[in-house]
Amino acid sequence: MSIPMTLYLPIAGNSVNILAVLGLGGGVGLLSGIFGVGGGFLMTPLLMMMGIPATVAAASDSNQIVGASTSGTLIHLRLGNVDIKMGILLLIGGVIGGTLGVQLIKILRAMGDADFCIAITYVLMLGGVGFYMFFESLGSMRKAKGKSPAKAAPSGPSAYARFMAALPWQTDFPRSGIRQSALTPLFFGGLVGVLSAIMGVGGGFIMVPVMVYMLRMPMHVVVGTSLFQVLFTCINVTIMQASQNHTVDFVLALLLLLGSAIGAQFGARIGRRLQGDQLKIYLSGIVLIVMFKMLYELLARPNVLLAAIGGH
Amino acid sequence: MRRLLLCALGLLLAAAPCGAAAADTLPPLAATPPAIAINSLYNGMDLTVAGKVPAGSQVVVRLAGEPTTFHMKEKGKVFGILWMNREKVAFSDAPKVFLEAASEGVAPETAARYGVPGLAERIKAETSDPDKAALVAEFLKFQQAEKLYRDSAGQVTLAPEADGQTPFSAVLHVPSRLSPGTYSVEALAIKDGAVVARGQTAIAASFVGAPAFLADMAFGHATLYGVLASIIAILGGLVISRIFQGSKSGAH
Repeated sequence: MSIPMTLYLPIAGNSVNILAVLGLGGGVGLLSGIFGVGGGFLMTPLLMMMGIPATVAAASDSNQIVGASTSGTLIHLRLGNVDIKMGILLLIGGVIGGTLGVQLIKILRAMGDADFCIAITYVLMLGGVGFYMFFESLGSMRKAKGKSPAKAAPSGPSAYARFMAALPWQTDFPRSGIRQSALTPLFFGGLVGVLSAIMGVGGGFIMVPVMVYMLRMPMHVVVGTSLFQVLFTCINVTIMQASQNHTVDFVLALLLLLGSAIGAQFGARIGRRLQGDQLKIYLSGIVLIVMFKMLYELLARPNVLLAAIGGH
Repeated sequence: MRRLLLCALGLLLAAAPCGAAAADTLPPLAATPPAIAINSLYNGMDLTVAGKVPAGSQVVVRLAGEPTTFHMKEKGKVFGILWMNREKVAFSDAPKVFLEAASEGVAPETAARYGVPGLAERIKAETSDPDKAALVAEFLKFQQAEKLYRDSAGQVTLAPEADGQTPFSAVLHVPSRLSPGTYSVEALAIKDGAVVARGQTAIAASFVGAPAFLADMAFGHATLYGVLASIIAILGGLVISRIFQGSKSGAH
């Protein structure tokens, strides 16, 4: 009598190997805990390789991120790494931006070639963010070690800082140790909301660089605050996807969650041991890998010249 | 309703190439198990089909799901370099699942005619692209990659002839990716590359146990299901976080 290692998932319409799903959840949860990103950009394609339809993979992943980010947010909250005030402002901006983004994508689709615009924007943005983060953190790591100071490019012109200071509704964000206009997180939250609605991603790995470079928040607070924000975004996505598209496979989500919540706990502890610059350089590496993967998919001839609607 | 579905499935299989004009009807086929129960432990299964064909015949056994329209996007090059999803294309009259197995004596080209390549004759591509045949070929490739369409999806064994008939037994490997519905099972008696007799039966697949409950929740009470899924995920996250907090007590 052997223990069954597979489980049939009625919404996904396929059976999966339990250990493989737990392992996948654990690996992606680890990254999520370290960097504060949802990991959907990794999880969805890997689930598709296991025979889960793309739409179900993405929606169920959102459901598991709800659990993983609850666990991640709590541990970061205990470590004092969540700027709730900033998180809420970003969230409000994100909801407004997400709604605008959904309308924008409708207009783009009506104009035709929307997919093309989206993919190009994605590759350019990921490339830009990835390379910028990589070289910026490399520069500051070298500087910290006292080696050739690599003449770090002025990270953000002072005109930007002056403009930020001139904005109305300046307020303190004590947890992040910064003073900024309340409009800034609203604006950037909205921008990420628009982008993630258009691209169909959670936006964690766009939001993290925005917090670091645009909002000038310390890296450790960025990770906790990002998870806090991701939690609410994914609750919204789960309920919307379940009620409108019936694509949330709860059992799959629960299996992934078991793996990822544990992974996220270890991730948060690993992240705490790493320097801010190290975190940034590793995250930039992941962002660049995703960028190159997308670029490859755009350039290489696909095996089958068809795609299921709702997939990538 | 089920009778209607069976008629549709019968028409669908009959519409596939059949070589000779009229074919006799085979004695009733026996499918084991007679129905597919998709429970939590379902991970694909072997379906046995037994019957008799006229002596000297070879056998092709096919299983086909209900005809469906698949909505997809055609990939094409933009600016001559980038591969992107372009035109929408709908493939109608395509079975959800299609499996074929042939006895050893069936020539490869005959097996192909009644197998996946033969489906190209009846699947219609609705698109503005003039090269519809190429698109249907891509669709068959796509479905095979998804393991939903398969030739050589099992073995057909022929027993020694008796009373002018050859008993056969076929084992079809039904995939794990299966949705509830009625599936048609058909046996073709083949002589000299043509169908001389055919027989058909139907098999129903349905959710039982936990999958039935979950599917009912997800489709019948969708918003509640979404809210519950979120709440349980949050609770799961809290519990795991609690466990870890316990194991780290006194760490800071």
